[in-house]
Amino acid sequence: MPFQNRDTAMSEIIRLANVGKNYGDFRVLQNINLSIAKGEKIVICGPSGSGKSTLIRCINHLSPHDVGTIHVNNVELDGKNKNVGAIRCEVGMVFQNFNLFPHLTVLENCLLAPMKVRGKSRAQAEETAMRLLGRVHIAEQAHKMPSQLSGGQQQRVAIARALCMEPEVMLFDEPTSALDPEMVGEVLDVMVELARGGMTMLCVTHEMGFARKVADRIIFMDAGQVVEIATPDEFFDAPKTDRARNFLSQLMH
Amino acid sequence: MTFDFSAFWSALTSEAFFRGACITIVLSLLSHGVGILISIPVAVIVDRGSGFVPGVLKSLVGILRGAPTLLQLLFVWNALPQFFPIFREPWFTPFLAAWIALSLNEAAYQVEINRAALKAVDPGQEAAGKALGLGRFQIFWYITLPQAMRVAIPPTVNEFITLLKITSLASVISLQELMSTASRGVSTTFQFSEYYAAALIYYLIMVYALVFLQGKLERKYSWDRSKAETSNDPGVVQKAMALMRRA
Repeated sequence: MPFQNRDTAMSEIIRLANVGKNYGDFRVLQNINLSIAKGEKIVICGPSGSGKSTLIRCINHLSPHDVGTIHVNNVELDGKNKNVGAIRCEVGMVFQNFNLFPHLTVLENCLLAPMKVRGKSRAQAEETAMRLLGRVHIAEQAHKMPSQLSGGQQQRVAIARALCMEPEVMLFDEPTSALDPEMVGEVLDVMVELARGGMTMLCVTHEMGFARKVADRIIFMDAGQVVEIATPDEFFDAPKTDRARNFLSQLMH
Repeated sequence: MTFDFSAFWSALTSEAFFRGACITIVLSLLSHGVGILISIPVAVIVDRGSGFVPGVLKSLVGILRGAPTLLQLLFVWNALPQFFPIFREPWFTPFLAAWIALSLNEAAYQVEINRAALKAVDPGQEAAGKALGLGRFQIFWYITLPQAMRVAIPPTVNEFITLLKITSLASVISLQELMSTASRGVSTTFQFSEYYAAALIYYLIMVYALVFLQGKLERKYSWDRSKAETSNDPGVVQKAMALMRRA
């Protein structure tokens, strides 16, 4: 078992072994091996269509993998409803397009899953929700509808909504790509705070400043494969592969 | 031109017309209610898959939408007892026959409305629900359905108004609803305009009540900018007080 060495076995929270996924003949992901420790911050980058989003969507079974095994918190994602449900409770996700529920208020967005999935009482759920909305600096908007908020505010609510399930891991799928430039900062700030709080995070993002600041490791993907895994310093200053060098040079322009 | 206003008024206020109108509205409500209940699961199944069950349901919807409503009414009333002796009992009244026929007919149309409404909900909503650990039914009930309903309300009320008027077809199976009450009055007195006008008033009252209800429902299920703007907009009282303060 090459991916389970003694140092990480204790604190390992996500393990992907030989994971692959196909859409027909097209191989979206192939041979992904990855071990992520509790508290680690991973930034996944790469050209569009390289399988970054698909990779993190495999981890909470939004896009089921076809080949290999995925373990989260020692539970295998084998497609059984019970296991999928258990893993989704522990894995929060933030989407590019926020995907807030437009018919519910900000607060109700944060209450739905804790009450219906975790079985919390309304009072308990509300206490957690208000605390977390405060943490993303948006508590005063709790009773507004999502459509009354700016994009940056909506994304911060989406982060709070995911945190309300008290997950072990947070997945971010290009959380700032749909935002106006002036709103990117407020969302990244919240993510940096979250990282400092010790959350395990996997972020697909093109925000290289954020990657440098927060990431423990950077995963560079191309054509459905992990091409390079490195620390931010190594990756940005001395990328090992031509493909990574190409990608970085395009980002600079 | 002669219009016997007193004949019109006595028709309008007669018990027969009132009863006819009640039968019309109750038949419409029951038929549409059952139609909607049938149509929601059918819409979900038809939309999801391409197997045996969705195929059968699709062709059933095709038949029910394709056959004239009049034919369906006559079929249920006259032909069902031919196949099943149980429908020859006295409990099988014209009202029941009309209810069955119109429910099935309405369900078929409503399936298409529901399908459109379900498709209008952003797939990202389901993904968000899944990511939060909600089950399939919870996602449908708490997330998809309320959003689809908003889209479905105007065409559904439209459909209901059509149904309300289609119930007049049930006069052919001797159901004494509003239109057949009017026709019966006409056939004995030949006061066409008076009796038709009385029926028209009843139909209009029912339809306008529905349109009013539609407005209320649409406001209840609106959560986008229009609602946001009105709720941010200071009310008349606040505006007046602000003016007074300034004065």
